[in-house]
Amino acid sequence: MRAAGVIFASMLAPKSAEALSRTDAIYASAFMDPGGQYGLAVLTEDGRILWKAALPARGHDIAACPISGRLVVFARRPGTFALAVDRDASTEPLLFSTPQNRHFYGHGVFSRNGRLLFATENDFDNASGVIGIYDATDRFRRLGELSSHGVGPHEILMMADGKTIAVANGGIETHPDFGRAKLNLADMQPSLVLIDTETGDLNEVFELPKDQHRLSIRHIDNTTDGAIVFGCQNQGAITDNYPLVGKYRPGEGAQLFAVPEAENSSLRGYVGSICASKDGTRIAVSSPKGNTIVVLSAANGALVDRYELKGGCGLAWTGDDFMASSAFGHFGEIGTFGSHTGHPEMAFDNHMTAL
Amino acid sequence: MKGRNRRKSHDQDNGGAGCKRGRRVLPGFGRRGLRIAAIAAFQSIVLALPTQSPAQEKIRSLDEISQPLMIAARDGFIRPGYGKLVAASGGLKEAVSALCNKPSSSKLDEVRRAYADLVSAWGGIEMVRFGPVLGDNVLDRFLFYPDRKGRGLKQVQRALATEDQTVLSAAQLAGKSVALQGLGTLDFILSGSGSDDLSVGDNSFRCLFAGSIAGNLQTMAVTLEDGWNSDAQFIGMWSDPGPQNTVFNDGREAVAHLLSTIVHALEAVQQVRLAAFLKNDPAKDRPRSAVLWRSQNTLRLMRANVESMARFYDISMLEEALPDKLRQDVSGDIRRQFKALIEAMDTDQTIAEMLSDDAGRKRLIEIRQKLDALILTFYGRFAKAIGLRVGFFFADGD
Repeated sequence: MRAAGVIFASMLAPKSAEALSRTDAIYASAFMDPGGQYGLAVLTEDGRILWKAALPARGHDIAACPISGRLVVFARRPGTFALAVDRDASTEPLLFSTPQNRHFYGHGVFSRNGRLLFATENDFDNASGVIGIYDATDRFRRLGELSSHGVGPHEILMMADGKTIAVANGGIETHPDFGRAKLNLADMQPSLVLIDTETGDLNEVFELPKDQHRLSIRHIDNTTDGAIVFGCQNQGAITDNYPLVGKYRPGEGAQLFAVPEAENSSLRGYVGSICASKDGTRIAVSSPKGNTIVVLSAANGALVDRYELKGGCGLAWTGDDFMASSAFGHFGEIGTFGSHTGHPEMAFDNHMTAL
Repeated sequence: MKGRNRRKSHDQDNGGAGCKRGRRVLPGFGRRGLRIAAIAAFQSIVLALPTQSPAQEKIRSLDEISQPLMIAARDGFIRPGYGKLVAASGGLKEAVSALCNKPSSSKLDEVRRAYADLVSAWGGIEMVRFGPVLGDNVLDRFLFYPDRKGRGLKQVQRALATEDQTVLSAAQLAGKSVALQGLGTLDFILSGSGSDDLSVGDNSFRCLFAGSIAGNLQTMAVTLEDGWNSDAQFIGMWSDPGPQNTVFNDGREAVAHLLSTIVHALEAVQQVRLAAFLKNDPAKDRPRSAVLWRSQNTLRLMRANVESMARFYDISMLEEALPDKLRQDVSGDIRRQFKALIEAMDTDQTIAEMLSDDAGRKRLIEIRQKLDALILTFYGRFAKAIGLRVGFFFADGD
């Protein structure tokens, strides 16, 4: 992995440091600048940028360590780099990468004790998904991997028990030799799985009905009551209007939300990000293709709100509402976009992480 | 975060980016309505957005011109393209039937020519990756490529070795693996090891298998043609962008879709077809990974792909979306680039010969560079000129 090009402000400017100490909530997001350069930004809840770091290529999601607060931003598929950096930018960042014959899928999660990092990866020669395990206490040395029990693993979560991970296997086979081309649309088999991180065992698996096998399950989030909400991306026909959002309760099964047709259509078959509120009441679902953010009841999927946000995708929970970002520099609490200055020079990537 | 009006709609401009701010849409009260259909894999990679004030004016004009462009693409390109596919698949079916009834070397040659014609016809319409072709996996069933695990080869060899009678029925074949029933399988049957045996022995299993595949391909072609002629829901969606449309909510989205159709197709030729065999290190070139390499129809297919894109560009009248002052310059450049690319693909050499020959390999690299340049022209100059901004999220789903 070439580290050149990673420019980093190792010391925060005094104003930024002060802002960091005063602010309750900060957020991290990958971005692209007007010159096409990629980076990681950490912002306050009112959109002030505390610091930015350059990335060698396009980033995707950010995992935050629950103990140290350290961040790891992952390359977008089929990228192979990840950058670990402290929350306050106090030390040099660390760039690490997948082994040969693997690439990241852009998502990862820390273990509860912060010692391990689990990342979704592609074993592309064997067309199978794996979960790479990295030692966060030893410069993210790769310790090994688990099967994702599916193809094309994407977002990954740590469950409340601290030993089970949930993985959204998108079901789509790709290979770096063919760029981002999808190689198995005819027989893709997406799934949502629960895996024991100690044994690698597949504890539970959820698959969509056979006629909906082209709904790639990509994005997931924990709800406060121990369930998982998930959002799909439709690889099928234009006239399909399948439900794209659902809720999986371990041990019980899944419920697909019957979002009203108009709002479901406004997602354009593409859920770019999903976020469950930590008060347990709502779910936000974004679609940059539909320029739409839909807010649903966490209990039954009933429509609560719908917002238009051009290129809106990144979502996070502020503590009392959702934060959203867009490819056109919007960054702010949901519903306040019109009054927010944002950063029009920045294209925020698909995901935002509350730190 | 207190005190903000979270229920107010905001239409004010963002002065810096020229982008409209996000706003809440009360169900049933959206400005352009809320009936936007779920849109699948074909969704444009180009996000139609104003970037500057002049673009705002241009977007209005895209609303005005989009319908004739969509209709022109449908009537002048898509329907005739599927019509040619029906004819070519029918021609192959007849030729195979004649070969099976009275095998000879000349009849086998005729079959191979008919097969090449079908490859050209498919290459001429393959860029249409939306509509009926997405139903029943037709896109993959017609040509399953890349087949990284060699599933098609294994299955066809097994069927030939065991003389599996179930593959001799086109209807039964249609229900089998996508890797077994299309052009890739036919390539092996007509040009793979043992294919010369087709010229001897009446109604051999191999020949009847070829006939079954040809019949299956013809059925698919007819289905595609019918879909574009008689599926009222789909035709209406395609032909009439506007607030009432569940997919193309305005002219910007429709024009963006036409543009992305070309860009996606160029990327597919470059990233999937060419990259499969042309590597940065010549020692790693893989001539036997090329699509339809056994019949030496690789470049025929790729050339048909590119020629169809040039035709699509002209027939859909996409250049009408360009501002007057840029039309001649940008469109002229696009046509020159298409012409140079097609000329570069005009060779009698096989892929294997080109890869093993300095001049031939250089030509392949030149093709790759020309594809790059053309993609950049569409992404950059064309999209920018008509006020579309390449979407950050839209290369495809992540």
